[in-house]
Amino acid sequence: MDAPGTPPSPSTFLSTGTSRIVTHKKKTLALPRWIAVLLYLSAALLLVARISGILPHSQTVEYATRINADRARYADGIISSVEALSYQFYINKDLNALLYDFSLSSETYDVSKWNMPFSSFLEGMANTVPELEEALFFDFYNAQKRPLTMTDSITRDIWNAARGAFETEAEQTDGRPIWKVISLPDASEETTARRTPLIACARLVKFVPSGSRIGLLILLLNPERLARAVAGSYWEDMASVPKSDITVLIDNHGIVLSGITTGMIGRPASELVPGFPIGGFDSEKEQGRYYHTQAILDRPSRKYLVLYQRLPEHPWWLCTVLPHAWEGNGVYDYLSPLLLIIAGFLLQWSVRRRFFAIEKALDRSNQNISNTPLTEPEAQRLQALSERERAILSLLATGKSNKEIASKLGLREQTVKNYLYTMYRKLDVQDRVSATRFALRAGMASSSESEQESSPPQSAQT
Amino acid sequence: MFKKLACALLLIATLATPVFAQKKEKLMVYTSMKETLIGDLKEAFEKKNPNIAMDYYSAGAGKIMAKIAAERQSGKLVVDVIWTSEVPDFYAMKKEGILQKYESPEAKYVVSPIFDPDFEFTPARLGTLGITYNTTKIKTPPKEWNDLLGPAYKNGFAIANPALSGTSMVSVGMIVNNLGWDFIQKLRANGAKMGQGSGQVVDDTAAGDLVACIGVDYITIDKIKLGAPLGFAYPKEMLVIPSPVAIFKGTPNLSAAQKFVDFLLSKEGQTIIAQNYTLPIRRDVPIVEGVGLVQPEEAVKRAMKIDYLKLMEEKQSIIDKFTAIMQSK
Repeated sequence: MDAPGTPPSPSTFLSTGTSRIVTHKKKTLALPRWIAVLLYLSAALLLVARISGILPHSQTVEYATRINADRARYADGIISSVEALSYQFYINKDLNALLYDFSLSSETYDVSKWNMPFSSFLEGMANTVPELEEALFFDFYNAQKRPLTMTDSITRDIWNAARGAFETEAEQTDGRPIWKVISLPDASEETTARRTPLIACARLVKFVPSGSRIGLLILLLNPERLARAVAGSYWEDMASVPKSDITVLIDNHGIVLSGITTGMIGRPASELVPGFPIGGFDSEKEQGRYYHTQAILDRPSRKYLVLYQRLPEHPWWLCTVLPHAWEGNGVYDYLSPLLLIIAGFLLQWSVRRRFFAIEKALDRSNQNISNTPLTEPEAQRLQALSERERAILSLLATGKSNKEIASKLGLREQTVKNYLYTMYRKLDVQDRVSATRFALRAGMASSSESEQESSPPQSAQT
Repeated sequence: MFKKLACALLLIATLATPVFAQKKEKLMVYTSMKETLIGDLKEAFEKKNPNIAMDYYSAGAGKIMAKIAAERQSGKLVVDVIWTSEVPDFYAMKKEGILQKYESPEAKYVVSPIFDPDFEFTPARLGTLGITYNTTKIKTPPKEWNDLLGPAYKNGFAIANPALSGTSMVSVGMIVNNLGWDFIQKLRANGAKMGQGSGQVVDDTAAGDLVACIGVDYITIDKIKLGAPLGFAYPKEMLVIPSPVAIFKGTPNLSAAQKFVDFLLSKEGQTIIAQNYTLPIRRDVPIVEGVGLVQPEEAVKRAMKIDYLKLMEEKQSIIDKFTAIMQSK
């Protein structure tokens, strides 16, 4: 410090005053910047995660793949049990003999003698294979003969459609089961209950002891039952679950055998499974997944995730088609990182504003304060202040906070504030900074307690 | 802060509601009514009772009784309500004590030739059977039973298998009781055959495999309405068979079952039944005119007489004898 008696130079006051403000400035800016950086970093990470599809997707996709595999196994189980049922007519001697006996008879209408055991066996089996809805057995060599039927409700439009579908193929299969979708004729005499296509498994039956051909066995499946088993029955129970995904069972000809809605049955898989390869999937692979953008059914073009699984025992596929980002709306995925970025900007911007405001005020102070003495009216205004007000003003000029001023003068903080407000009006200044400038120009700042309380209003001139 | 909490609560509430809202009652009905009839009834019933999920198994009475017997023996009955036309079965079940007493509030409007004072079963429809004939093969509708013995019907007439069809079983009982086994023998001598189910014989007639059969009213008229070349005529003595409905004792879905019985007997249910071309059991519901049906009063007057209790005792022997005759050379 200078020697006592010398009025302290404004620059001294200035430096001490501003240094306090500067420290304050540093404190207020450091924290927000650190938070803003953190926000930007999180936003960047989220964006990367979303775009590359790593983060929240991966678990859901793994889960969906497991479910798809389970459904494929389940569907395979149903298909296999139906085929096993057809095999009974070979392996069960009594059943085999029954069909042989039927084929020998010339009775064309009253077939109840054979129909009763045929029907009882199959209705009993329908308990273990609930998807089995109907069964027929046609005598190969007698087209006039009525077929054996499982139920007493089936009518000839269905028989004829079933027989027609397999007539030529069955002979060539050498006793192996073949699967087909059978569309029913439109002009049905029954109710609409039968309009949906049926899924049928046909098998040529031979008399085991001699190998001679007896007839054609056709087992008909309820497509809705099968679909429910394949797609999961929770579709029915939870009406609020959006049915936005498609699960279909596709045979080796690329035809859909079963799907959530019966309207899908019999359609080519390429209509429902985006990017379905012409020859089916590579049978070397057991399962897989891929993304493909396509418009399917009446939905607009969008990106889909396709999961496919080969059935364990049959060269068929179970495909599940999910809209990409099916667990949430795609837009919202990008919203959170965006919001974080905006938040970061806002934070920085508001702080920077304050920073610039202070800087500007200080610049002004820097330029003006040491050189400009108080004008006559200003000096008069200063004179008009009370003792107390002047004391507060001088403390203000040193950069003290209201609290500090209050404790120094033994007042309450609110009282100090009130004095300041009155002071601003009296001095015709807008705010604290202007008042501080005024005080400094008046040479009122006292930097330490050892110094004089107030300086003369005249600005010090060296 | 509160806004966030409110949003969170709202979200949880909307997620939770599906779980609670869908607590449905179940109902399983075994019926010999065909899809056309039971389908319409199910639709209307579920609309009226959205809380009940109704499932049904439609098959001939013979199959239904076999299924029930198996379920009973294995210890678990899946079925709640049974509705067929085979009246003797209901007397037999009543005798075994497996039916639930239920007097529906609608039961007082029922007018029927059979009546159970214990309300263990209630008739829900007044079924009739007539002669269903193929109009390209038979030019004059039959008026008497004896017409069936004529040359027009040679080798072309059939009766459904009474072991499968309840209406056929009771019909055979009625014919035997009123016209004697003699008549059956004569039919066979004229080349009559035994068919399968009641729906199938009508289907066979429409397809031309048969010239005529004993056909159920609504099955025939429904096919006629869909354009089949069929005609339907009642001989002087009519086959009138009420179709009783009953609830099984010990069913877990008792209230749903009772609601179904109420519905069947209500004016709404009976109207659906009548609109499906058969006779309602309530007199305040009109029949469909101009399709060949007769008024319930007339039907009951012309009905062949039968003692259902006696029929219950003789059921199996009648089936066996009938089958033997119809399959004899």
